Amino acid sequence: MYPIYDVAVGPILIVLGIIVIIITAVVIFLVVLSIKMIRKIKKEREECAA
Amino acid sequence: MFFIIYNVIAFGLQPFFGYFADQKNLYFVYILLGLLLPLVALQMISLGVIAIILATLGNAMYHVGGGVLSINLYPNKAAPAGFFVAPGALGVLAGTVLANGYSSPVLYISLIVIVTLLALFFIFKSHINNHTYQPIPKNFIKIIYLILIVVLIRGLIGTMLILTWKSEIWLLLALTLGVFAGKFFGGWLGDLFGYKLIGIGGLVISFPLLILGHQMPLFGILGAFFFNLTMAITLFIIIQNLGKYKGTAFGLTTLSLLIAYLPSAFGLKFEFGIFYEIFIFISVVLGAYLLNLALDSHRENIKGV
Repeated sequence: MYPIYDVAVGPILIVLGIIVIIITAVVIFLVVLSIKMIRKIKKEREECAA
Repeated sequence: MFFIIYNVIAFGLQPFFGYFADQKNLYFVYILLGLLLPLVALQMISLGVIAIILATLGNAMYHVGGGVLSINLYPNKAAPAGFFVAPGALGVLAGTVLANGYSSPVLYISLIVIVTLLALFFIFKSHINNHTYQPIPKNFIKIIYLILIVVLIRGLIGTMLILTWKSEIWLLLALTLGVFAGKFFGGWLGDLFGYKLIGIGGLVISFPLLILGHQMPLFGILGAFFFNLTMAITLFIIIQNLGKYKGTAFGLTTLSLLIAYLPSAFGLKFEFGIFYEIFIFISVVLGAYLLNLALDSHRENIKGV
């Protein structure tokens, strides 16, 4: 007879894992967008300098 | 979970809010919305996530708008960056204490927000300076990434720090005051004595204090003070190197802090011991080295101008 928390822990870990993956993906997406924004600023600066 | 969502929205979206404000000069509108949205959110606390999202959007806007307008009051000085950001440390503690208190603080906070809103609208509006800025230097990409890595390292240390005594409310308050003072005076001291001395010196001095502060509150509080001296300086340097994109600069630093916050939010933590000490040591040395590179590049730009 397993204690009840052994039964419940699995699904909770899966849900937590999915949440961690989603949040990480969102943050990576934001970082990529920010890098693109910095490149845009760089391009704008080069155009102004030219 | 709500706290993670709050941080992702409030910190993660700031670069884009900042960019938009920089393009349209929306800083003052952001300040007003930054107060109005949390005020509305406070009245809708029972709606949970919706209230949180409104409050976080307000947070992001207020940070960008208020930050840029504060810096514009005294151009070419790091002090205003610290003066503006530092009270946030007290606010986070006050918010946590009030939220866990017995009586609802909604009415009092709402009144404070309304008074602040009116004061800003009628008094501060006439003090807003023109949005003056330096041209973006050629090597700005290098400086920006160096500063963002320093902010990331500092954020990692801050979230991984082990202080056994901070569950005691008065010691936590003293620690928060140490953080506040470090952020508040860092830029001002940097303007007076040089950014290298205060920024790098503060980081280096903080290392032994933070290690000793594991069990000894006095060292921990002093360590937090010295550790946070760097904040206003890094913020100032990144803003100085992004021309008119001051709001974007503000936002990029908070995105860095968000990345630094995630490992601890996901449960990754050190046990106190040799690995923890090595982690703090390497982080401090690396942070100081990269900050030194960034400050050298920044100084070259100033000489060039």
